[in-house]
Amino acid sequence: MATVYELYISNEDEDYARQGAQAAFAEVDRLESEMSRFISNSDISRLNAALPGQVVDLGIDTFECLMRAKEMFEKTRGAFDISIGALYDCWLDENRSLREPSLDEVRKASELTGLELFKLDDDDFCAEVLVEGVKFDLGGIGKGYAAEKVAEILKEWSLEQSLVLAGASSVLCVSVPDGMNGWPVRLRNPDQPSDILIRFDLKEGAISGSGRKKGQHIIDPRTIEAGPVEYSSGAWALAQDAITADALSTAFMMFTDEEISDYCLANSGTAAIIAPLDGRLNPADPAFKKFGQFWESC
Amino acid sequence: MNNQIDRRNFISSSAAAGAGFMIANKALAQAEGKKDINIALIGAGVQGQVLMNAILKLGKNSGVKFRAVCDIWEKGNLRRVSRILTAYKRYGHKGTAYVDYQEMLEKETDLDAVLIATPDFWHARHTIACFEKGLHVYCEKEMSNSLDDAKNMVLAGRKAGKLLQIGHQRRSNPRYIYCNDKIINEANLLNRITNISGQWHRSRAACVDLGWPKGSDIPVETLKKYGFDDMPQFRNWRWYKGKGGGPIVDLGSHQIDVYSWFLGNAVPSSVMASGGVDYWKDHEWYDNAIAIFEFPTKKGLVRATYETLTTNSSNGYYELFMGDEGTLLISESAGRGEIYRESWVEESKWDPAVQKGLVTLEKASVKAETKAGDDEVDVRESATPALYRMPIEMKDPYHQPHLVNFFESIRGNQKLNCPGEIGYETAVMVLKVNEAIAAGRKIELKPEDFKV
Repeated sequence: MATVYELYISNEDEDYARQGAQAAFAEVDRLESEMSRFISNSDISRLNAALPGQVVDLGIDTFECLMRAKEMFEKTRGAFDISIGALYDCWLDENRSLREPSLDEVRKASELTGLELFKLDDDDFCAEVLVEGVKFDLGGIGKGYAAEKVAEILKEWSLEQSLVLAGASSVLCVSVPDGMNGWPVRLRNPDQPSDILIRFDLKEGAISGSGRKKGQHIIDPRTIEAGPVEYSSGAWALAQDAITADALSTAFMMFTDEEISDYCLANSGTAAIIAPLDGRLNPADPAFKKFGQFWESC
Repeated sequence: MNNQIDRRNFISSSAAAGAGFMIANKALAQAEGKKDINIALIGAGVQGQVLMNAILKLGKNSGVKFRAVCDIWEKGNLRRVSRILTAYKRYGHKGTAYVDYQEMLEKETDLDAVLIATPDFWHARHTIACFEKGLHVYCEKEMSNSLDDAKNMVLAGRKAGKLLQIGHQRRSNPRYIYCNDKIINEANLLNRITNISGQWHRSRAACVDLGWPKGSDIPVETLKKYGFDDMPQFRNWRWYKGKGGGPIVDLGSHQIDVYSWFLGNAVPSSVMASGGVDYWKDHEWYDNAIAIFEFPTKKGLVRATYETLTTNSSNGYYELFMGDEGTLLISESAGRGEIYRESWVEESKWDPAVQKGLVTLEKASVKAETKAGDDEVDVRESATPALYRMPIEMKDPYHQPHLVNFFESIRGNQKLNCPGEIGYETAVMVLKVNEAIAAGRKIELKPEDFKV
């Protein structure tokens, strides 16, 4: 996670809203200590350090988050994968620049990638890694998970009329303030941040964005040997919850148009916007693509 | 971190340093089919939840089973914790919820031990009630806000013949045990420790008063019965006299306990301090405190300073031990641990410790290269001290090894790392800081002041 959370709360009692926000931020800190791979005694670090056959007992949150990660892995047919650490180490050097791995290195990275490499025990809140050296990172989904937990706390505090921002890339609408059509949201062109691609009101659910900064590389875990993929410079996903939106924005960076379109058709409440690789854009530009029914009512 | 040893070596070196208990103990409890230790939690706030989660992460074969939980905040702490324990029903845990601890102790007849994580001013009453029922007690620090009460806790434990572990969890942290046993004692890398400093600074944002969700208030009569004026005081008891002791007690206690431990459980001969309610409104305890202790030790006098702020988080929290040959910086915070060799000390003097694998050299000292007999002098940047690392990481939840030490002591396999007598010594040190601030003078202490 290691990211900044912001809350927008509509309430007549500012002090009360501030205290509720404080309780929500405390929850984010707690989840960070459970799930960050940068903290040596977090659940994820313990899982990453485990030897094959060693059962790692997890907290409920990490367990739930791993379950959701597995579900999204399956739904995206492996495009969203929290075990991609080895893959990136293979294709990128220490400075995150592209390198030419040997066939053997690619084969090894491929053996260490995929969610079939660990078992989640539904009855016992624990996990077991089947191959040594798999590196899990909940970065792509932990943010959304924490946003959902923050929403639960805000509801507990009767502060539903609020919006959760996780790291500026995920937004979750808890509910819309009285008198508003929705929370005003705008999406910018990742290549030209001064260009606003679209403005709309978020009435429910979540939106998450993934972008490829200049020189940044994206590797599709489904086609490891092919190296970096370049379909788009940015992908946004709308979904009913922040975890799904987070996972989908990552997967949509690697999906073909057809795959995105199929996904949005098959999963109601899902929508996407894809910014193509280069160039200045405007909403009328045919290269700027929208998927899903959501945009028809927008 | 460079020169990190691999996972397998880590397990063996941490076991050698006194950690790795968890893996061993889980196997033990499982293999020998030992009787479960049945426990209850009194005080299910933030700290109680930290303890509970550390225990739940011991897994289903830990041989430790929650039977009940007690908290006066029914619509807050109690509801949350009871719900989590119910989710772990399949592990054999039970989250029977109580508001009244006496009712819980009456009805839960198969308990072996109780974890106490209530406000400081309740610790003695809860602990003594548990001892009277013949139960072992793990009590959070501070033992008490009153030294008389803290003393009575130790005496009640002795009378009952039951264990009292105080929650100074660094005492069971493998990194801290390693620093004390290997770096300070075995390798003697610091040589004579002359000074210690430490701090726990928090930002203003981290210190604002806590609120509570609408509709979750504790009934007024319950609040009064348990010694609270109202909800704000209940939620922020640490700031009130007669309830807690302020940041010097909440945070400083952990670190000042380590000062004493690393000096061979030395106790100070004096304390002077400054502090006040300088920043926050409606607080009774000092929002910043600075203390100076004098510790007489076999090797000579050690002066130690400690500081805790609530307005600025610069540099977070750590303890710094300064000897005439080296420096040790350690923090519970993950990954913070550095050992520096003084520039004048020859590298060869620390080589044996490196060869034994006790420390690894991360960055050699940069020194002027002028040698004896040269007729010219090199002029360049100041020499920087060499940086060494300890080859050990904390891999378990922070409080887990200390809890395991408690459970294994109940089973007769270990000795408590922080029995009530040690907890009492620390309570004296920190409560005397508050006394010194109030008195505005240096307070002299005698060895017998630390004895129960």
